[in-house]
Amino acid sequence: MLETGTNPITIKKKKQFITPKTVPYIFVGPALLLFIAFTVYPIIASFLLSFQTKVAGVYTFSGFANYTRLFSDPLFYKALGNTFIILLVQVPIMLFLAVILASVLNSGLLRMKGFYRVAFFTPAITSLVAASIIFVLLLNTDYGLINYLLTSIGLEKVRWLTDPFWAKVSLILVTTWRWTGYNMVILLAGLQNIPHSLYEAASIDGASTIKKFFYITIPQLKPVLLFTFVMSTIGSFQLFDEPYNLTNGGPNNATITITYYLYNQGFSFFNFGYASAIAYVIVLFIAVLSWIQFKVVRND
Amino acid sequence: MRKKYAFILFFLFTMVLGACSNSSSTSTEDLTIPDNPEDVKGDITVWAWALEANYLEKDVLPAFNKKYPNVNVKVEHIGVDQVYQKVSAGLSAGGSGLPDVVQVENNRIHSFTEDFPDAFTNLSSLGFDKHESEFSKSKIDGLQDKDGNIIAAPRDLGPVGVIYRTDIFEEVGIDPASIETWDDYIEAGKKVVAHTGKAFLGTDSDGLLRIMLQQQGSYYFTEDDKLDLTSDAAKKAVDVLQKMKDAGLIIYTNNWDGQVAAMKNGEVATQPGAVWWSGTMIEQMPELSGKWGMFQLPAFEEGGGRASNDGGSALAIPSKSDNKVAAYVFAEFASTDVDSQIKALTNRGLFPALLAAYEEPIFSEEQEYFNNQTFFKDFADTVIDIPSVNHSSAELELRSIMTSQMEAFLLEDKPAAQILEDGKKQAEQQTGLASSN
Repeated sequence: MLETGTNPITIKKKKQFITPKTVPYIFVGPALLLFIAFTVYPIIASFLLSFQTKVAGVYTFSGFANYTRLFSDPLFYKALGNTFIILLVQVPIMLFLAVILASVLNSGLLRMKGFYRVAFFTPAITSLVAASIIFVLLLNTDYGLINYLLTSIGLEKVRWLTDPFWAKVSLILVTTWRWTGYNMVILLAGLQNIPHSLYEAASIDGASTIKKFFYITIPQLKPVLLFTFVMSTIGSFQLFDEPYNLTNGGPNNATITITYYLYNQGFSFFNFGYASAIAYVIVLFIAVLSWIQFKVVRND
Repeated sequence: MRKKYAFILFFLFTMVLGACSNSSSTSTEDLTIPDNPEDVKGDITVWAWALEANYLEKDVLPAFNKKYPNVNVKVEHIGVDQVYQKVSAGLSAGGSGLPDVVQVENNRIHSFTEDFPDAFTNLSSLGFDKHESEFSKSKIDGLQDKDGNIIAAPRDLGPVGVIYRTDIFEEVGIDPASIETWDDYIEAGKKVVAHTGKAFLGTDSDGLLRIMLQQQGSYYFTEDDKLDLTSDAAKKAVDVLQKMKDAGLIIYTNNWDGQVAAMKNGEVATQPGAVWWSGTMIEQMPELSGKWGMFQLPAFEEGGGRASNDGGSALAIPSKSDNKVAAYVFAEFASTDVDSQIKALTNRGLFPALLAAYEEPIFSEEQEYFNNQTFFKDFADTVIDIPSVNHSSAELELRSIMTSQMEAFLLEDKPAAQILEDGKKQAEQQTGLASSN
């Protein structure tokens, strides 16, 4: 009698599909399905694709052929070199500017802070195609405003977009224009988390503003600086819109970046296998660089 | 345990996704073109871009529907890059989502047929063979598969000549008729540059090199799809380019806009280029009306070939079209109807490949913009001499490589002879193709 009495209850419990335990999974289910379909699946599919080459229109397994090709591809090295030049020159300049701007905006001296914050952040949310059209006009060798100003003060015209060296400079300028404000806002948030008492204590000990900046602001900002540094490194490896719209990667591939090269192989030449191999090498580079950056900061 | 289930579920999921793209169907349809145009029925979709899309929609369609009232055509204007990406994606997915008729450039068609041998309908089997002799041979040759079947209906082509400033030539005292070889052209260029202090010609990519190669019946590829970058023809071409550079005749114009600006602002006195430049010139440089003319491309040696081609497209029917009969009659009409070809030329500046069109009065008319020259006839006269060349599936890679090499030559002073060697090495590495020599 006791057994039959308990049975209906357990059966009823088993039939229950929505329980406190399953509810979280049901809620994340739709998002998870989309994530699998549009993120996880492509990640795995492109990994498999990176070991395949196209033979008469059909992708067939070819071992490490794409990877060995990559290591003997001069254009790949050129694109990688360009990416590193931008990384090593542009990222420090941009983060230096961002720290300075954030400190100025965080100090009590400036009026109209809200206006400046918006003004510096605006480039990050501007359509890059529209901005590039303006930059192409500004940087035009013969009719651009910048060269007009240069010649009017007696300097020579600069071939901003058609000279291999200056095209890189232009690319760095535009990238800096676009991303400085973005990093500034992140750093500003970091600055506002630094306890005011630290500065007060330093003031009592007679520290100058410069000393306060180097001995309080910078060390306290370290985790935020690391974050912006890692994000900017990843950003440099993914730099595509700027060279695509400004210079088309030219002249003579002077501004081709690694992601642009990936795009060309995939979507211009339809070598999706090779493009996937490039993508995985980029992933490897980003992972290694981020790991090094974390190590360096932690060991300090 | 739960992890294992999740993994299996995920694995099944990816398999299902993968399987979606592998469905294929083979259908044997009845493909006879009815004798009575009114018996052709149904809806078809057409993908084309820019001028050709306007041509198909506004010039062809009204006339086509008069003859074939029961075919409902929808022309979709899609950008050129999007067309190629969508066609490539569609063919990869076994032909789904493709239109019934699609515009394809001559130099791109083999990049599709190489990857997807059954990409497009064999038009010869539908009866297009009977039109073969109605078109310029070089055009038809470029649209045939390995077995000689026509796989796309020819539309326009781009015969090349030298477009030049008549007023400057007159001032300097040069008779364009006396320019028969590239050496003559360079001598004339030196005189013009000494007089104007500006350049003689500009280039923005590998276009000029390709023109010079095809002019000699040579190209980046041999007939059997091998690389042919260090051929004698290529060496002759870069010799001429080096001479032009040494004499300070040639400037690098960076891109299309730069090229147009150089012509509009008088930075250059000549432009070796295709007939379709006329459309851009008339539209963007109206103030230079009457100051332009055309002479034939200079030969590499006296009596050598003076005809070449740059550009041109065709209309193909994807194999998975479910109304091939209607698609065929539309492509055939757009390709072979003489009145439509004339409209394409006068309304859109698209130069027809249909030889019969050249007999129409418009071709012998004197063009006011071109100093009252019979501009179109002079280009049409070169069409039968255009050599056929092989645009292989690696065309785009080669163009990209050689454009970079041309930039290195013009901007970084790399010797012209070197660009062929370097280009060859890079092309072998990039495309995996062998070189013929």
